[in-house]
Amino acid sequence: MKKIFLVLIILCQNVEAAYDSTNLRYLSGHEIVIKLSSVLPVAFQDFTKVGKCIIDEKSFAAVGFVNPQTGKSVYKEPSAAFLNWYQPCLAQALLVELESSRTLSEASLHLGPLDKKVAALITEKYSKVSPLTIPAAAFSEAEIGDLVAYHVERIIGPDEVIESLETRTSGNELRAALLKELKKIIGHNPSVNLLQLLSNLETEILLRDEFFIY
Amino acid sequence: MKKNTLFFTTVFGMMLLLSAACGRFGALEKQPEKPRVSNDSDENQEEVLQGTPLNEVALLHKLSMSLRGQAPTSEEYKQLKETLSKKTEQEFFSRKAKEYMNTATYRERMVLRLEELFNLKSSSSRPFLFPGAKEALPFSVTYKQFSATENVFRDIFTKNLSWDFLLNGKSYRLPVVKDVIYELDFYSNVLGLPSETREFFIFPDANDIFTPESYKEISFADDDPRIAGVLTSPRFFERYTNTGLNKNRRRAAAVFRIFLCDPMMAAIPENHDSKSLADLVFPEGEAKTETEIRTSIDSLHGSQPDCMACHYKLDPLGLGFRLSPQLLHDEASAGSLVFKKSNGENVTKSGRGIGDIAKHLSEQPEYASCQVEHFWNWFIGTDVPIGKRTRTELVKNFNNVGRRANDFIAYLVSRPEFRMRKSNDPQRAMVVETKNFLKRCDSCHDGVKRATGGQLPRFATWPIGDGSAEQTKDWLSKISKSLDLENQGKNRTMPTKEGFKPTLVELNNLKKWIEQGAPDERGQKMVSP
Repeated sequence: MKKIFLVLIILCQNVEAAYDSTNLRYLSGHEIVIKLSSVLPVAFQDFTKVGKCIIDEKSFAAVGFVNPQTGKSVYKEPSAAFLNWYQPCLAQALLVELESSRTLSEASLHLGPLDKKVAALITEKYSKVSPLTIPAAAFSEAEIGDLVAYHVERIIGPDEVIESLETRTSGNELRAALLKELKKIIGHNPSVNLLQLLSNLETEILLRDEFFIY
Repeated sequence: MKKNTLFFTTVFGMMLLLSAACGRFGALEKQPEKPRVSNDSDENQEEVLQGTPLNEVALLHKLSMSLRGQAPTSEEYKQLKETLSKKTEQEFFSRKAKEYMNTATYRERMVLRLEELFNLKSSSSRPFLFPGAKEALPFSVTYKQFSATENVFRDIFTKNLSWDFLLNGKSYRLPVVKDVIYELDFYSNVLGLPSETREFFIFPDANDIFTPESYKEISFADDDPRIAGVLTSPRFFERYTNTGLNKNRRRAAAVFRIFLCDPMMAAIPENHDSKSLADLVFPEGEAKTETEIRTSIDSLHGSQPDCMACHYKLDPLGLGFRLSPQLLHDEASAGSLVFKKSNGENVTKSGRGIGDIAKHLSEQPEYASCQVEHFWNWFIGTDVPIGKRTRTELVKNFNNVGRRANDFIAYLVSRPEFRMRKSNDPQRAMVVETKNFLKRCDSCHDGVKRATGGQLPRFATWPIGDGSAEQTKDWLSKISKSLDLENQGKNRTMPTKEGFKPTLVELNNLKKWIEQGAPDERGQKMVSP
């Protein structure tokens, strides 16, 4: 939350004509739902489970739709009102997505580079649990780092893309910040599992401005 | 008492309507209207690509996001790296653009852009993209996204039709629900359907909820003067309603705005007098009946010089809709396309009906110039000026590809401007914001004669005035005083109370720009700070 606000504040001072027409640079509300569905494909297979992602009359302006009377959107850029709609939508979609990933093949999109190790751990030690309930402590810092790198690339793109978006954060800085955050979570609660870790990681990335701009 | 109150409320309401239609009250001195060419303040700019180009990886991301609204997959990045090693990236990007344009997300994004261009209320959910949505959340799926109007938009991108289909299309797809053909009522007269069958047809409310099982195709002869693409579709009629007072001028104004990029704002003189129209309606010492006042307002509306700045073109085009206030009439109503070109030449093209007028419109160079500007704004950006040479190239290519929307977009995203990294330079953002602000001033002041003789310069065409530093400085000083920039606009005289209200951010931005010597996009200062 803090991060997106910080990035938004920096950008909002400099970016002209963006949200205003919902087509340049910032994705508009329904485009964000479309993009979110490509990142969390299982959740959006059943729209009843992601009801918080509906854009109703109240959130219409906040998500950047143009007011037909004026031909302009009320908000020039995403605002706190946007986050009021987006955060519950994201939380619900991510929960549905991760909780639906019960088998190794279902979870592979989110496990990324960890899938082989998870497969091995299931065979050796965690045969009776679903892959995402394996404790995060079972993975080394380097492996968690690989997971971070995988999701940054999957959700935002390679370093060249991050650099081109000019949000003043390089790929290295972004990955380091995310890894630090995850380490802190594991440090506070060593029993945290992969689902909780992935939920935190993907939420952080999906809240960043780099996800909405192009 | 009640009757009097009602009467004066009615008259006041009519005056407000008149004011809104003309842009303001009063100020009835005769002024010539100077035609506006879209974005012409940038026409003479030296054309230099701004910013640094994106590398191929970032370009692929931008292409994918711009066309379909989602990032490329890891597999696509891998494919790109392979093509880079083979040096076949040009072919790769061309193939990818076509692939992205074949997706439903691209098509629906373009429908959304057209909804915005036509100022139609967008549908919040897209069942075309989330098939489960319409069953799971029926309340969020409304009639409008299945309407004939939206289907015209959709067909342009699905079938890669000519952009002119918006004006010249002669076929529609109407939604069918439980064997009822929605919107057929709208076309029943032109289809010659017997009146006794009409009770079975429904003209839905825009918020009706349903999912069509199929679509009924209706089509008309290519030269049918009654039919004109989106202009003769139900949602366009619903959005731009007709009244006894506006006489289809609202529809005509939308046509000028969308197809000729004419903002339809009346020119206003320097000495603004809000009372003069009121004096005309209520002459001092002269008693008038309600009927006389109504007649007087109706006659003034569309005959006074400042109103005529728009009405000389709105009225003839509005006539093309005359017989069809709500539903299409079985007879065409003759009208004309009338406007002035940028070189002052008058264009007058008469037609048997709106279909003929729309065809004339699509044949005008100003139409092509305006339409390429829409595409430019969508894919390159409103903050990137189109130079004269670029505009000529765009129009040439628009015509070369038969004006087919997807082909033109493919061309546009292959241009070097698309490859430029977006600028986050605060200095450049300040300049762009200033220019956009001054363009709004120009939209009213353009061509207005000054009381002291001569015309006001275009404020968004730099340098302002004759190009001399003295004159530019003089105009900057006048702008500063009129907007009372020193006091954050507290005692500003411009824009007038009927005009737009500048925000504090806009005023501060303008002040900062002037203090910095009024730099242009390349940082070149017009005056010494």
